[in-house]
Amino acid sequence: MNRLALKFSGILASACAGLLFLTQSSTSERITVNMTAHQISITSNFTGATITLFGAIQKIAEPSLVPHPLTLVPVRPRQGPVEDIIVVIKGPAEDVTVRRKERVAGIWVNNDSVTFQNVPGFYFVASTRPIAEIADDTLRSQNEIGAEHLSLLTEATALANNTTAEIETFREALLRRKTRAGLYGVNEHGVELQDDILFNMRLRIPANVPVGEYVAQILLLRDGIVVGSQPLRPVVAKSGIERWIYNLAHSMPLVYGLIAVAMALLAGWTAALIFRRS
Amino acid sequence: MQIYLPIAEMSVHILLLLGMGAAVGFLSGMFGVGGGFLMTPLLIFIGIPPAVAVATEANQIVASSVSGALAHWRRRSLDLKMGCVLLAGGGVGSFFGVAIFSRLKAIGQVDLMISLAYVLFLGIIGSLMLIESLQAIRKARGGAQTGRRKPGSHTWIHGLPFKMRFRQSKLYISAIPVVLIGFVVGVLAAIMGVGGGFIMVPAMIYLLRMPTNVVVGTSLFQIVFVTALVTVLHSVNTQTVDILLALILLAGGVAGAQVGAIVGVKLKGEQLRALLAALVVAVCIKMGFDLVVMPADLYSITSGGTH
Repeated sequence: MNRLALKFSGILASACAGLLFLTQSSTSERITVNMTAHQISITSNFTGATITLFGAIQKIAEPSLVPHPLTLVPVRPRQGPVEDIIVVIKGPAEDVTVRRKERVAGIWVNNDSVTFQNVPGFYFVASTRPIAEIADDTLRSQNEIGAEHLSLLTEATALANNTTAEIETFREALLRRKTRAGLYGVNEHGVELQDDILFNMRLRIPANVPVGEYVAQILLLRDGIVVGSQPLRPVVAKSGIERWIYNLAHSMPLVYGLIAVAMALLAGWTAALIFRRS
Repeated sequence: MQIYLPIAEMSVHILLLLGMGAAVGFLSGMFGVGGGFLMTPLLIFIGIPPAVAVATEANQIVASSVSGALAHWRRRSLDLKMGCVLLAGGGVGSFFGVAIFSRLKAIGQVDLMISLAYVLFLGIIGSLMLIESLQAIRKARGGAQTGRRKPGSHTWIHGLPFKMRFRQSKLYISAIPVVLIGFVVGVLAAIMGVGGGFIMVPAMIYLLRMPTNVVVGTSLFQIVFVTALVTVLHSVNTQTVDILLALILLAGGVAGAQVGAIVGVKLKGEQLRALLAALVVAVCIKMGFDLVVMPADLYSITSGGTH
């Protein structure tokens, strides 16, 4: 089924690329991307989801040599410039407090803490080749490629109370915990590039994924320079009864509490009635 | 089938939750104890955030005690005046408990407090139950009669001011110890997600010298209202009540309690009580062990700061 989906997405992508080719007259390289689902709904039986990002690299030949409009430019010889795709996906930003346990009177107690701001709730990088071979440090930090290049903000109080090395250990712990929870990850061969034209990547979204708007930045690199980029904005949202419960709990907490109590009273009373009769 | 819990924000197998509800319901039906002090630790063990476990369990206890309270109300086997005075203390106690809870949650110490409270209370109750049931077993073997303390004798309680007459309980005592007991139970309900019957019932019998026929009914009356208040307060202050989780646990619990009540009548009491005591002690040891053993990762993260 997955293979079929990939094949289908490939066809779709080439069709898109073909159409773009007809309408655009720019000389730079372009990428066209899409994905199998723009909205991921968290319903009562949500155990995670897999979506596929797919697209095509559109190469425009010399104006004098414009081929038949529906023919994509043939594959260049191998000696030419090397092209790569890097996909950076970030979930909604939030504040995260990292706490360190220390032993106090025999038991482990949360002690020091550092709060980071602007922490993506989800973060994933996929590329066609090992990132170190594709992009240099400057490029990586500019585009936040790799969790170690995420620009997290540290609270002023934490900066005043801790040394840089201390904050770095907290930062590492944050990345480690997020990775272990399946929320941060990297796959250096996650993007499959076919014939230097079509590409696709599969993104596994775990069950504990945060809700909100995501940004998937698809970068096209040639010899280590970004020559094209295209963002996608998938949305993860709770839906159905889950969404209703969550929203009510946060927007009208008093009503929610009263409903919870009423529901419990009714359930208990009904149960008593049923079992008294039998 | 996995089910996604909207407030706990995690997927759990529905059969696991139903099974836990049924098992704890079975035990409470068999022994006539509220299941809160077993269910909350179990929820924590399967990975539900402790704060959600506590608040949700308070919600579940509303349901599991209301039928009992209604039954006692119909039989007139509860002291309404005593219940209301207890409730006055319980109301203040739950406000106080939820305030502590929210404060500790903000500074990242609420999980520790929940664990410590459980280790302490389960340790005390478990050992007392174990001792009591072992003695009962020994006595049953020896053929001796189990003696009961006679109510009626005066204690320091009777020297306190603000005396009130409680007709149903045939008592004329100070309101102070009654309010205090209610207060403690209210605090425990808020921070541990328990009904507090295990504290209240012995306190009523041994401290207040209430007649045993109204003790359980009065205790259930206070539990229904206090846990209802705690549910609302937690919903407003910490948003940790998971209605869906409470409903699933309830469904299992109701069925389990009915079976437990039937089985409980047929089986031998002392051995079962010893078994329950052992279970309580085991849960206590597991919680204590988790506090003492070095965690695999000393660092933990909490999303959603105070901005």
